[in-house]
Amino acid sequence: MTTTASEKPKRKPWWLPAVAVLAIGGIVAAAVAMTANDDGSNTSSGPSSGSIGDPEIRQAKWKFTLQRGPGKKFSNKQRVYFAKQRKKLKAMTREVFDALYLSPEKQRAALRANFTPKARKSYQRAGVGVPQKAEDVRIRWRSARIVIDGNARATMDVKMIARGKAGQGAFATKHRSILYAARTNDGWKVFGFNVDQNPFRKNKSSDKEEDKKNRDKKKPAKKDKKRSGGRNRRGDRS
Amino acid sequence: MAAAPIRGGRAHAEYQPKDGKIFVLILGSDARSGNPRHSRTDGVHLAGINTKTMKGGILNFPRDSWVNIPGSGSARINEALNRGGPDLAVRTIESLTGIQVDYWLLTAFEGFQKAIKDVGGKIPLPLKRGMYDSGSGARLPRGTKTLSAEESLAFVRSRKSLPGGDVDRTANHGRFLIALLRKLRGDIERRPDRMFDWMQAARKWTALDIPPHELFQLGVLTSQVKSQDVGNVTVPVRIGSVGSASVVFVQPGAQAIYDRFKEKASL
Repeated sequence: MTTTASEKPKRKPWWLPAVAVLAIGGIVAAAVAMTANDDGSNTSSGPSSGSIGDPEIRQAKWKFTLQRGPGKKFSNKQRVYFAKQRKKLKAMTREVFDALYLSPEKQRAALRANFTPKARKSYQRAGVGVPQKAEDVRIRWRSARIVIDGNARATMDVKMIARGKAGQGAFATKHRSILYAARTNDGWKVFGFNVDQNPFRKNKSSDKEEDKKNRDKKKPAKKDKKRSGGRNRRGDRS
Repeated sequence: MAAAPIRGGRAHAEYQPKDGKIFVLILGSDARSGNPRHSRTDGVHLAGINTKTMKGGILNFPRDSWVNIPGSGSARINEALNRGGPDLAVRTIESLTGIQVDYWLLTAFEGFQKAIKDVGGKIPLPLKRGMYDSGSGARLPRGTKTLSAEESLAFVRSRKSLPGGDVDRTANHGRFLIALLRKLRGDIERRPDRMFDWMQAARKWTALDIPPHELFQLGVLTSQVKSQDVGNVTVPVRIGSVGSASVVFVQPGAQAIYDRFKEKASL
């Protein structure tokens, strides 16, 4: 039984799968290029290994302590207003330090919004935050103690411990910023600060053992108790 | 962003007057009660901060300094407060030194002691020599490391036990102010919000013409000046008399000190 050309079963061309793979690969590459920053780092919200603000990496929770400064008891109106200022300062702290450590592309905007111009320039010059091209940044500790005085002045004592990778090595930094802010017509602005940032080295287990040995060495040897002429535990003479 | 550690910290305080200098006149009244604004001053000190170099200075004026009081003739410098309040004291110092004073602060015995108490006492002022003064009640042995509020008052009041009398006392006031700065810095380092306690102590127990928001900025700025960068200088004087009154005359060499202080706001 013969069949005509129109009746023959159709075969898929052999090159079709290869073309399909190439097309998909091109689309993915284009998507990555569109989301990349000028410096080549990728801070898209989607999962990607090694990005600085990778949402897959679990960051330490913020620990906030908010208090008011010394002074007279608040009226109800002042109390309500104080609650608003607490929210604003909490948000300011998150914005600034999340930008410094997790979203460097937002750093400039965050500092511009929350610092006076001179303080902003000075803070940027201080070089706070993580190294350039940091990857896998993991914040191990972040806390802020915010005290508000008279609803017009505030101090923020912020502490951070962060680890990550930069270049060929790992880094770990311990950071403390003391920020002084005043409420202006444009909202709260940091006008003064003290900042301290140093490499952070967690006590390794071998170091702990060595410390324990050194402590034991320093302890004086127990002297033998005198037996004769003394009293025993019940108070009777032995 | 740099990866290098910020060793020793970085500080910034934005309080830039037009020429980068701030001068505060600090007056210590001898009033035990009544209005300290119209009493005599036992302490007259001009404190300066250079906001660009972050260095400072305290210039001390012995209370018996014979000076011109604007609109009132010549008298001891401690009369200025009595005759015209803090404003006249400011004008007297400005006329004498050529330095424009930005703010003034006035305290008396009771206010001084209570302010020191409110900031926690324990002023770090090691004494290499003991101080025993019947006039002030000071009983401070050699090696004393910190002063309580009562001891602080006794320290700043003592003069009879000092070889140079009132001139040495005036220099001690400067030392005490530097010790206060050391305490402020230590407090802020541990708890930055302690700045508000200091501000409250100043507003409650002293008279001053600094508005609260400027006091905060000034406090932050001051806390960033290291105590070793603050010079303590007493105006050179010689003992003399005017009529039967025992006074001291400011020496001509003082003009160079005024000029240097005016230019650099530090000593």
